[in-house]
Amino acid sequence: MTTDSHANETQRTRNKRGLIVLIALAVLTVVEFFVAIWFEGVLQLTLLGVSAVLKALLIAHYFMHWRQVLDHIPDIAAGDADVVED
Amino acid sequence: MAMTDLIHADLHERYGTKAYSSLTMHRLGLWLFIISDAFFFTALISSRYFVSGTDRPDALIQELGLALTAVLLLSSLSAYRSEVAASHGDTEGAKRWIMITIIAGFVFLGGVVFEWYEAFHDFPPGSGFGTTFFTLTGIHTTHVISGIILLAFVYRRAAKGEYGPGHYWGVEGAAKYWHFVDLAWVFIYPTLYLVGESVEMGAHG
Amino acid sequence: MTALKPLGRAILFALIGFLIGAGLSAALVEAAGRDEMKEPIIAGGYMFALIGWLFGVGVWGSWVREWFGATVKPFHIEGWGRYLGFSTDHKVIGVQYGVTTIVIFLLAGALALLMRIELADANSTLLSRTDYNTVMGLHGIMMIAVAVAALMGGFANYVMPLMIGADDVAFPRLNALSFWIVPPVAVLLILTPLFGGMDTGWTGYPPLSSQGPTGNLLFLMAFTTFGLSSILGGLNFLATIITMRAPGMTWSRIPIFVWAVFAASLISLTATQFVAYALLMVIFERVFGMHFFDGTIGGDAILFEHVFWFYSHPAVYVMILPAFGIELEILSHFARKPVFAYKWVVRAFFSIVGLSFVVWAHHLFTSGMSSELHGPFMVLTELISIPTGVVFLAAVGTIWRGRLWLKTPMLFAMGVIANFLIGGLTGLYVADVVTDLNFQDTYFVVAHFHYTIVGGEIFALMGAIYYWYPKITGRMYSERLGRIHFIGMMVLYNVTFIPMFIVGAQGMNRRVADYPAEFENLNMFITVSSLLLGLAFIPFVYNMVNSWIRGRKAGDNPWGARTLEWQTTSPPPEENFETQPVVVEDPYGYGDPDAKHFEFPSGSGHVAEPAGGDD
Repeated sequence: MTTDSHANETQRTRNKRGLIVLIALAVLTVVEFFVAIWFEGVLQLTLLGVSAVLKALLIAHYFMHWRQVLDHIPDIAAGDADVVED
Repeated sequence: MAMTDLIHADLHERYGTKAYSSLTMHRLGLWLFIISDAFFFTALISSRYFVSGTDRPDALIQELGLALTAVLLLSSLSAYRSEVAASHGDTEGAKRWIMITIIAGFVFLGGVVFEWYEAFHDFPPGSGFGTTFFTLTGIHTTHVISGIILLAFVYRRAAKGEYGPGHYWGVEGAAKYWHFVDLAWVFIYPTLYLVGESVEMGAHG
Repeated sequence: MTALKPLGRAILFALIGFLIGAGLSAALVEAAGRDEMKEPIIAGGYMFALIGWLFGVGVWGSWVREWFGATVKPFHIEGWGRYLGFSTDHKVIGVQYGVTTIVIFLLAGALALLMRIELADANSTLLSRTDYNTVMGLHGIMMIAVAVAALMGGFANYVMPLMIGADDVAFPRLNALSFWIVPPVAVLLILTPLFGGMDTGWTGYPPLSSQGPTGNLLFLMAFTTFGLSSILGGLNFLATIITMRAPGMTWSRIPIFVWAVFAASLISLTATQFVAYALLMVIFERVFGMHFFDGTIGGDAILFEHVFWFYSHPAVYVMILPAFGIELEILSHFARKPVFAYKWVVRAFFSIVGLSFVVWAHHLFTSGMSSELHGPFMVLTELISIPTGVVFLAAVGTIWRGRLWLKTPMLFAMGVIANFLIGGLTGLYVADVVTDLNFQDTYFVVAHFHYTIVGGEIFALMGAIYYWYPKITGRMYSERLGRIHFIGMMVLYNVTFIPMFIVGAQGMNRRVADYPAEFENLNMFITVSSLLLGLAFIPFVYNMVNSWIRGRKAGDNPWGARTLEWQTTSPPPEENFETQPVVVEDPYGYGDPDAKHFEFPSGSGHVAEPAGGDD
């Protein structure tokens, strides 16, 4: 199963990945803060939206492991014949 | 129970379908809940633009908004680390990081109380921006409080040694929920604090 | 007496909860110096009463204790007493939902008759205008609750896990919770008239709903609570259908009713959050003094209508999709033919789900919404008639050249075809902006949605009751009384609602107790036929109650149907199947003597007798 693809990684590697994601989130937040000051109108709205979506994707992917559930969708679409989980 | 599960998995293999583990089932259930709740936040956030346009009052304390975001992002890392620790059987680490997440949650709550105290004078709940401001932060804070309660239960059960490498759904589920609360704030923060121009708004503006 | 213990404890806890919540809220109101505000006290009391009710009925003992690391005591009572407590068996919950919704259905029907008696002449005679409005609003919301919960809560709960060969739903305790949220809703609605009633109808538009008497608050809280139940139910069904299908039950082999439940669950999972938010906005206005809808400060009353209809239009598909599923299921089994164009029906279901999210603003054509939106929403709304038409044609195709076995369930399923055709065709007139501007808020609209929801869904509900009655009770209903019920209902229903198209087209407004005297004759006619329609339910109720006690034993598979729910005893044992069935083909192989839907593999224990799977 997909969860356990992390199982052979050490705790340290995974902790380090968490830290990198946090730094990316922090950088994006600071960027947002200044985008709000420097830009206005539609451009500002777009940039803020893109940044928020990026942050959401980072959280959903690295922190919430949405692949654990998303990976099942192709099986569902394929009629899940001939697919046997672990 | 385990015996029937084995027969079941075997039958699935023979008849060409997939046997889902109860862990997958729990994850799916939580994700469905998250999708559902995300619709609620979508309605909340879009009503902010409907009721008070894109502008924000200059009375907003920008430093506070940034600090609240920072606390919540940091707590997301600690929730992540508690899950990692639990999955490696590091119960002490899991407990420690859950506790840190709970503390960060309380710091966030303290920030919200201060924010509300100030906001009551500058844009009360009856004003245009205040209506959406208090609704958004109020609903989000309700989620934070329920997340803290969830984490507290998980902490207690971790302390009893109920989690180990193969079975830590409690920690994982609570952490996922906490990340979702964070994810909602990722959209709420720019919606309340950053979008549009900072303009002067009276108590009834 | 032990059977009543959970209920007694729940009522006690609810009262204690109310006192605590009301006390806390009163203290807060006092502290804020707003002594004149009474509604926060009611709202706070209700929230705690709801929690107390749920804890008392069994959430504490069989669920929350676990979070504290204590052992849980699963609810387990034999006999009829299990229907009065926090049972996690999906069959018990299905019956709880079913009986509750039928009772509410009959009560709401009685309210409709009360309205009809008032409308027999042009003036206010029986009811004051506020009372009329309250009766109308209660009839509306109660019927909405029935329409949403009777098929999804009752039959999807009971039959769907059996149909996919599962032993229960994915989250049994959540399932029980979603039922036990419903009784407080009923209590709130019953109390509404005592708190000044409500004038808004079931749609609860502000500013009327945010300024009217406290009855509005009770209505709003009841509706929100009911939404929670609907969300949890949808979540549970999706998880069940995805993860708990029997071995061999691939997606192309699941019965069409299960597909319909899947599609409807997608809507109740997501869209219901919008109605919860719409109603919460009004509650916040009333309780916290916020202003979402006040144009003078930038708010907009249209906001409510947008958010409200973003749920409430898709909600009609939560009602009608399971009805389509049941209709096709019954037609196939009683025509002894496969469901016509199975895959296209499934595609149509999901097209309906997709389109249902982008048509809501056709309810706002006359609300002052920006007129650029009129065209797109008209086109999108009319697009939805394509997948609906596919389902309709599949129903006709299923009975085409079939050997029809005209038992009561089949009669009702064919009634759905006839009635829904009228409902669908008249829908075009209200989807089209030009005609809608004339028909808006007239009895034409009333007749239209009664043709889709009553003619479509309630007829399917009746068909489902007769179809699965032998499975649920183990006894056979009286066929003769069933036919009397069908003929009475079909004829009188049409006689009642067809004249409403006429008075509506001539301009008689709905939601008003008085009307111009020129409509008096037709209205008198409608009133008389509606009272007779009410009488048609007497054989139904008698039949249901009497047959449950005295009916003859039905056997495991009286209809010779092939889906899995008929391959176990009637009523099924607690674990549903003594041996795990496996699925080898689709369930609609009628006409092919070699076709078989399921088998009980010898490797999994003892072999059960396949009960009448062949034809």
